[in-house]
Amino acid sequence: MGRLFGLILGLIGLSSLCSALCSQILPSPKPDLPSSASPTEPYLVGAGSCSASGCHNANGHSGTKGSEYSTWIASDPHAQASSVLGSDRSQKMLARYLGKSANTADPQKEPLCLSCHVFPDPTLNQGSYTGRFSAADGVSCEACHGKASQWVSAHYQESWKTLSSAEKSKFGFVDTKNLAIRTRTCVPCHVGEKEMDVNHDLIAAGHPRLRFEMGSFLANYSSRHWRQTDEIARDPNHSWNIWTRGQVITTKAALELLSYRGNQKTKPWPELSEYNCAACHHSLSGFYGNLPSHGKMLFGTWSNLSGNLPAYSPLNSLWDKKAKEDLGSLTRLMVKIGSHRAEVGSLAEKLAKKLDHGTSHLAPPPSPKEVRTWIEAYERSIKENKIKPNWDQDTQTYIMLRAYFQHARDLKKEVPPNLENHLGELQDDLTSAFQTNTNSILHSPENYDSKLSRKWLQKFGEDLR
Amino acid sequence: MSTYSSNRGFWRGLTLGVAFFGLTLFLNLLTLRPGVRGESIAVSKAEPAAGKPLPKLYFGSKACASAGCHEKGQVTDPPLLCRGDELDRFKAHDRHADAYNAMTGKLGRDILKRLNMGEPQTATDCLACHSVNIEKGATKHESFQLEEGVGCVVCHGAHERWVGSHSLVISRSAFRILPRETKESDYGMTDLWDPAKRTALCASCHVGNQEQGKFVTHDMYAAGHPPLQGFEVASWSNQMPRHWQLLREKPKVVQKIQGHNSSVWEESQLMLVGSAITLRESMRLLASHAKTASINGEMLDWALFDCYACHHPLGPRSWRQNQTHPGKPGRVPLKTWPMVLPGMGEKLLGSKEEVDQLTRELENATYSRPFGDPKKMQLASEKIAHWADAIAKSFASQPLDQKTGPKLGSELLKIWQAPPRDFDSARQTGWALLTYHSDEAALGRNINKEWLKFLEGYESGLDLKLKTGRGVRPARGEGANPKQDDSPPDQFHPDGFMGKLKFYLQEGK
Repeated sequence: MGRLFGLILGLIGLSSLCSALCSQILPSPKPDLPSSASPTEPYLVGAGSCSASGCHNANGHSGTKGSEYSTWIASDPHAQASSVLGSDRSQKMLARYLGKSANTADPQKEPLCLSCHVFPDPTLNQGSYTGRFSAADGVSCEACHGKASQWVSAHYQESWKTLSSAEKSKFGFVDTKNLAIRTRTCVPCHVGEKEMDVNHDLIAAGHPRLRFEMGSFLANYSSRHWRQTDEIARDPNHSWNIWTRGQVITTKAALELLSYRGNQKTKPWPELSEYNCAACHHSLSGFYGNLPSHGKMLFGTWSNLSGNLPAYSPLNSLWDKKAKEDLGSLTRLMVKIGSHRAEVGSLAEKLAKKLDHGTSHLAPPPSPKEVRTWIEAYERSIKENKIKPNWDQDTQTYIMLRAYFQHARDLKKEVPPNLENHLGELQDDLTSAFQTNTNSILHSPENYDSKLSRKWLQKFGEDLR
Repeated sequence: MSTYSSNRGFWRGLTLGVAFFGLTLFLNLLTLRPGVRGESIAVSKAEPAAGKPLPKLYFGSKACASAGCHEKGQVTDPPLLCRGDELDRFKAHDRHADAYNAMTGKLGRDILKRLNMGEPQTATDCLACHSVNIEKGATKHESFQLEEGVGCVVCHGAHERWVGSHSLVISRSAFRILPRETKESDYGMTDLWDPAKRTALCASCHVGNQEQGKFVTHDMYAAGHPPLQGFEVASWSNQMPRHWQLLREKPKVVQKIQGHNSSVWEESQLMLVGSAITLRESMRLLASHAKTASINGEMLDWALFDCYACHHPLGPRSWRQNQTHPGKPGRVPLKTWPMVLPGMGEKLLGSKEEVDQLTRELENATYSRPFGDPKKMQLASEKIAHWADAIAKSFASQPLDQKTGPKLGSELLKIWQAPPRDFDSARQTGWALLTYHSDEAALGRNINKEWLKFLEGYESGLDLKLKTGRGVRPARGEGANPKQDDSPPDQFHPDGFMGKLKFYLQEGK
């Protein structure tokens, strides 16, 4: 009896200790979910708030429920984002960028670096990180899921589950299950934004160029802290939809960035990172006549802004006739490379606005016949010289086919047997275009022979017949 | 010739007679307008050129070969007035003779097609350097052929008056003793002995000259034109190969007329003056392009910038990133090689402050935004052109002698106390040293043969031996022989070069 009493007493003591501890970690837990978020600005509470073993730190296999924090800290590259700023390489890079001597440049205090390597907000600096939020955590939970001061204590309550995505967003919570919202979370850093701009100056100082594509980034994100099967259970068209949303939102982000670069007179112009790297960065030894540029810059080949869009692009259904004309003018101005920055800025702004509500009406996944028609149309436009094939464009085509292939596989549909082999071979061609395979992100695909495109397109056309 | 060959006897006399007959016949062909011939002969009464342009005449090499003057001529040792085998050397070895053929070969045809420029014989933008564009109203002699490429007429002057005067027996003796300046101003014979004039002429194609319509645009490069290499007049003249004698090789009588001093570092002097003129010409070219660009609100043609600033492999451990970059990384620098030797020469004369300040001004204008601010670049490049012209005059007026010559060698080596900015800049110093050593050898001074071997050889990576000879494929770019192109400039690694350099300099001691 005494033993039982003692146990009860002990449990009470433990739980009060626990709640006392929790109140230290969690900001003022409220017994009931407030009807709306408090009017004060949400703030950062730090990854430590998510790391209770009962919550997200179960230390299970990556992707298992409850092991989000442990997966992130153990294997997610985002967790290293901040520590690279302390490296010798980062310090030298920033010194070169700012034109300072190496010992006076400090990437760990530089808002330009912190705004992607710690938290996506250029107005925050080291001094504004509050409380338990630590810059040393790198890109942690709140960078994607939202500043948590108002939802951290609410999100594990039963009533939270009844809230809509819009209602949750009032608490500062980002609904990353929504593919469009998820993609918008990635692009500020992976494409760039105002004051979070990896421009040509920074690339020349040693920063890798940004080359973002949502579908392939997710597919290669091996340290995902959620399950791919859950995604497909939620949305059978996931693999296709993530590609289309990625295409549209990435292009929108690229246009917004371009408009900022054009309008902001203090920023460099022409901005060389808007162009195809290999158009300039190729060796002059030996034969270089196969390059598509012929002495001109190639604009927007990665971000689908190069005038003539391939038939498969989901942007085709979003641009009206006027927008397509504007896109043509934008390309002409950009290729001319003069002092048209203001014109470019306003055209890009106009075009970006057209994509504001773009992702809700995107077409469903295509049939094999549709894909074949796209491929044939693409090949025709190369033949008729409307599209100049290049590494960027061909890689985007490859990614589209991969998305189609993966989607068919998700649904256990039959896929043309040769398609996978041919995709693998094309992947080899695209990879071997780089001078070396090590650190290939830093190199230019200068060895890519643009004559290869049509060969591959013909093969894919046959595969899909 | 009568002055120098009076001791040669009957056969020589007969040859002369026949030559005279031939030349008269040749001149009759040349001088198509009445009166001109009379003027040519009246050497002493030649009218000054002021105001009245000399009549133009475009002739072909046949005119120079006739009567055995400049082809299959008798080469005595030492040669007399001229070698007599100028055309043999030119036709057998000189790439200038292939200049037009380069346009009609596969690469040339491909380039014309890619640029939509039509047939070789009418592509004036190419012919300006690959042969010659004949002005309207100029006389074309029947010996003239585009196919001869950059033939005699291009460098020596397309004027009938000097051609007649210098060859006719009755006029040539009087012509020969005229000052070089008069031969040019009154007869139209280009004064190639003036280092400044010679270099300006070479640089008009090897660097570019907007007024003369000579400029390799970025579009031309992109269509396949091989990259122009950094130019150095003294070593390039030697490697043509030279079809003339240096003053130190000439007969004493000629040396006396030319005021040659045997203790002078002749080739180095040419190198110094030439380097300043090359800089001047490259700055004038930049200024004229910058002027047009700033008026039209356009970008400068990319051909004016350092090719390898963009055309280099990308990589994380690139030596480029460890360089002390005068501007922001990612901003495109101009070609830096034209500044190397004049900057060193200025040091030889004393100060170096002015050029350093001017260079900074041009750099600031160039790095203020990608591809530079044309207006500011125009102002800065005009100032440097002015400075280069002045310094060329100082170099020309102070002969390099036993006192000042040896200083040059040590100043040249000092350039390499810091790693060179790029391949072309390193090559400038390399060629200047070869030129300097050539003078040293001629003056009987000791030279380190191992060091020379390193400098010239494959090991230094400087590729100082030009790809000379007829029918040679382009040195770089499309169509280049891969074996010849084994040290492409974008692979040049200054640190690697410095390592080898230090090793050889220490070994040499």
